[in-house]
Amino acid sequence: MKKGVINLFLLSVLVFSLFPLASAGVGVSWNQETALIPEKSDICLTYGIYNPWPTDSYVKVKLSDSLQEIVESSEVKVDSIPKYTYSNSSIPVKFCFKTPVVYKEDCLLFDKFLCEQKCLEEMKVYSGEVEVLEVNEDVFKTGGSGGSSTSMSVSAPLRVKVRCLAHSRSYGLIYITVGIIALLILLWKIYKRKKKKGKK
Amino acid sequence: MKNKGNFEKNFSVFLVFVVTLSFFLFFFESFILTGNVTEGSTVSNVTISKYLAISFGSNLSQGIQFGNVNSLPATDINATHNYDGSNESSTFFISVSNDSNTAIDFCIKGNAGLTSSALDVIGLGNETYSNSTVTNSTDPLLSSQTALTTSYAKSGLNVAVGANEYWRFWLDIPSSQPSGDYNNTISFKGVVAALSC
Repeated sequence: MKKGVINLFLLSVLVFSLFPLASAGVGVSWNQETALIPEKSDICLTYGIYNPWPTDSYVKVKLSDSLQEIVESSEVKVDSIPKYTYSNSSIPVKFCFKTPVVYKEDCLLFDKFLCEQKCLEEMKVYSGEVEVLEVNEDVFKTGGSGGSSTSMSVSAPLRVKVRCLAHSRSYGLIYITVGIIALLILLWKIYKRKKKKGKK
Repeated sequence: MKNKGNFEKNFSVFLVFVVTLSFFLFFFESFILTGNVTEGSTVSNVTISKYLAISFGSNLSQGIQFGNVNSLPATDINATHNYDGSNESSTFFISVSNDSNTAIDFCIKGNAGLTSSALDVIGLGNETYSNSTVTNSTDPLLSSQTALTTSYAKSGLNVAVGANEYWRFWLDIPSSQPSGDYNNTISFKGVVAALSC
C-alpha cells in the first residue's frame, strides 16, 4: 500500500515535470475589425474577453493610442475573468467611436455655405488594436543577479475608415433667400397699395 | 402715370414669378423624388468571427531569472528554466488554447535594459532569446539567439491552435558591470498570424 502511494507520488512528479502547469490566460474574440462610417458619425464595436484556462485571471483592456482621438466612450467594466470562461460565453467589452470632420469641402460663402464635396482626398483610416493584458498577481521573485518579470497580452485589430460622401454644390440657400426677399417685397407692395386705397 | 402703373403691375408679376420659381427650385433640390423599383432582391450575409487565447507556462509566468553570477565577464548565462525539462528541454513556453480558431504569431519586447536599484543598467541588447515550436536539448537554438528590443518583434510565427511555443533566454554581462540585483519586464503578445505586432 505504502509502495503504491510512493509510486503514485513519483508518477505525479514525473507528469508535472513533463507537462508543467499552465497559468491563467487571456483570450479575445471579435466579429468585426473594420468599420466604414461617414464623417461625424458614431459606431460601437464589441469585443469579447475570455479565459478558457483552469485559473481565474485578472486583465486590463487597452485601446491603442492611435484610436484615442476618436473614442467617444468605452464600457470596460471587466477586471477579472473567471476560469473556464469560453469564447462562446465571453464577457463583452464595448467601444464607441465618433469620427470627426476629415474631408474639407469647397465652399463659396464664408467657408460654410454653397459647399461641394468632390472626395478627392485619400480615405482616412484610424488603425489600432484592442489589447487585453493579463495582470499577474504574483510578485516577481527577485534573487541572485535578478532577472525579468513577464507580462502577456492578446490583441485584436481595429480599423475605423471614414467614408467621404460626395455631393454637388447646393444652391438651395440662394433659392430660398431670393424667394423670401421677393415675397417680402411683394407683400410690402400689397400692403402699400391697400393702405393707399384705404386713404382714398 | 399709365406707364408707371403698367411697370408696377409687371414688376408684381415678375415678383410672383420669382417667388414661385425660387420655392420650386428649392423644393426640387432639397427633396429627391424616387420611383418604384420593379426588380426583386435578397440578402446574402456571412459573419466571420475570430477568437484566440493564450496562457503562460507556469515557469514563464514567474519571470525569467539568471541566478547568481560570481565571475565577470559572463557570456550566454542561461535562464534557470532553459534546460530543466525532460531531456534538457526548455520549460519556458506559452500555450495557444484549443478554444481559438486562428493560428497565432507571438511578439516579444523588453521595457528597458536590466536595471538595478542604483540605476546601473545591463543593456537590453545583452539579453537574448531564441524560440521554437519544439523543445529538446538543442531547440530553441543558442545559435539563433536574438537580442531583445524595446519594440515588439515577431518571435514565433503561425503557432497552431493547441500548440506551444518555447523560448530560451541568455544574458551577457560585461566585466565592468557593478554588482547588484537587476530587473526589467519582458512582454509577450499574441496576434492573429500574419498581422503586425
